Amino acid sequence: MMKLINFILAYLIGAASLSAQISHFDEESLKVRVKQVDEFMSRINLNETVEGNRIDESTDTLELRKCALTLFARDSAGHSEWMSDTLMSAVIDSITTRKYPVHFGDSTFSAVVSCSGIYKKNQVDWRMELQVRNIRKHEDKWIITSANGKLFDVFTRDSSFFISPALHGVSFMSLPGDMRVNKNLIVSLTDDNYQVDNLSLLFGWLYSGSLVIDKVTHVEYLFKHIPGYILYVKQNNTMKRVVSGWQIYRIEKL
Amino acid sequence: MKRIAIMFCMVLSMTMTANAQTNGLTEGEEISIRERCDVMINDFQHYLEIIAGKGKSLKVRNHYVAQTYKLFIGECEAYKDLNSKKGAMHEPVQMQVSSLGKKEPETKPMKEYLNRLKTLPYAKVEIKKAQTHKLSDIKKVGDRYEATATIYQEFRGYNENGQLVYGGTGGDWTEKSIRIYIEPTEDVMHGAYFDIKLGDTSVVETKAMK
Repeated sequence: MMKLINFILAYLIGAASLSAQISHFDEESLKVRVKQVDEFMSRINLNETVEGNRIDESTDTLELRKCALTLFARDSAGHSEWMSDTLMSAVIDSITTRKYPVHFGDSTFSAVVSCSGIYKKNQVDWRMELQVRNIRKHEDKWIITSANGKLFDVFTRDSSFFISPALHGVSFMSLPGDMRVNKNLIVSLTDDNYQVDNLSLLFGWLYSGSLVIDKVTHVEYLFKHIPGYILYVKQNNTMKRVVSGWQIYRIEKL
Repeated sequence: MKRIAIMFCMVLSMTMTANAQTNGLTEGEEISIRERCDVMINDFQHYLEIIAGKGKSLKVRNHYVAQTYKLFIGECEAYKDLNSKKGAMHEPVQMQVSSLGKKEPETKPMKEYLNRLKTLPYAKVEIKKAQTHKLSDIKKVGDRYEATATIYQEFRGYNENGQLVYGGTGGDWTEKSIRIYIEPTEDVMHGAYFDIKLGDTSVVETKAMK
């Protein structure tokens, strides 16, 4: 298998004429580059060749493998920090069977958007996961499904902090003071099963102005449509790579 | 073997039909929109070359600045927000600008960007476009459609002696993404057609060339 991969890599290097430093537009390498996420999806489904032509019955296996190989972030020697050759070969095999197509609205496809902002005068970062939902025929939208980051680690559950069973006797008058003093423990005043929802926290902070969202700092995508694997996709633009653009930089075997 | 090939073709043609129908446009409409988007993107890049280059008179370059405004939604002024039911105004189209000396791209109103481009402090400016650009899938968004175009530009600034003074030893190379609005429209003159306008433009990457 590695012989084949190396052969295709050599083929791609030849076709793309890529060097470590670009000196001018290299139209061939731009064609090979996975320029957009839509193009990535089209290539991983083997709908179009590296040159952007529709794949048809005359497209041979080598062409399909060449197309699949452009989706992996590897340096000119064919190495990758996050992917073993075995894993990459297994995923290429799955792609070339064409049994696992991914579509824009699939729940197996999500975006991870890193954001930065200001929370109480401090710069903070967090991530939001987004997925595509169908609104009506032919029409989709992105929705936010979750949020995470250190920013949300604000509450601690402490069993020694609870509301006294005698507090009703004074019409709970001490409760506000207890909650003000133990802000980070207030979650302890709820049922043990209660979990603070990060998205609700985020929206509350944004609404109240405690958190001001500034910008999106990074985007990557997760593809889980091939059974047994999670493919992590981000933009790999170092020109030391054989092929650049939106590529799989890490494979996680489940 | 022949039977497998025939089945492969059938599956492929079904997949292709499904792809063509994901936004509700007919194949003819999609081809026509794509061709017109390509023309607009090429026009935009060609106009930038003229506006930035010092080879033409200021009058000519001003003319192309005005032409460029027309390519963008709201003609680079505040425009009626496409999602607002109350007619709220959206801020003018923006352009992200990057340079080799700066870590983060800067965002400017498109109008300001175009007018600054005209007066860059170089004796000669070269903006070159790559032949290759990429139009994304066309997505249905309410009553309209949207897409994204990815373009590539080279930029070089020279002094009076013809020496390259911006962009290391070979200029810089930038990848940008442009939002595209496609609105089904109808009027007496043209009948039914798709009105296409460009939108906010982000920098994906800038690097020095050798």
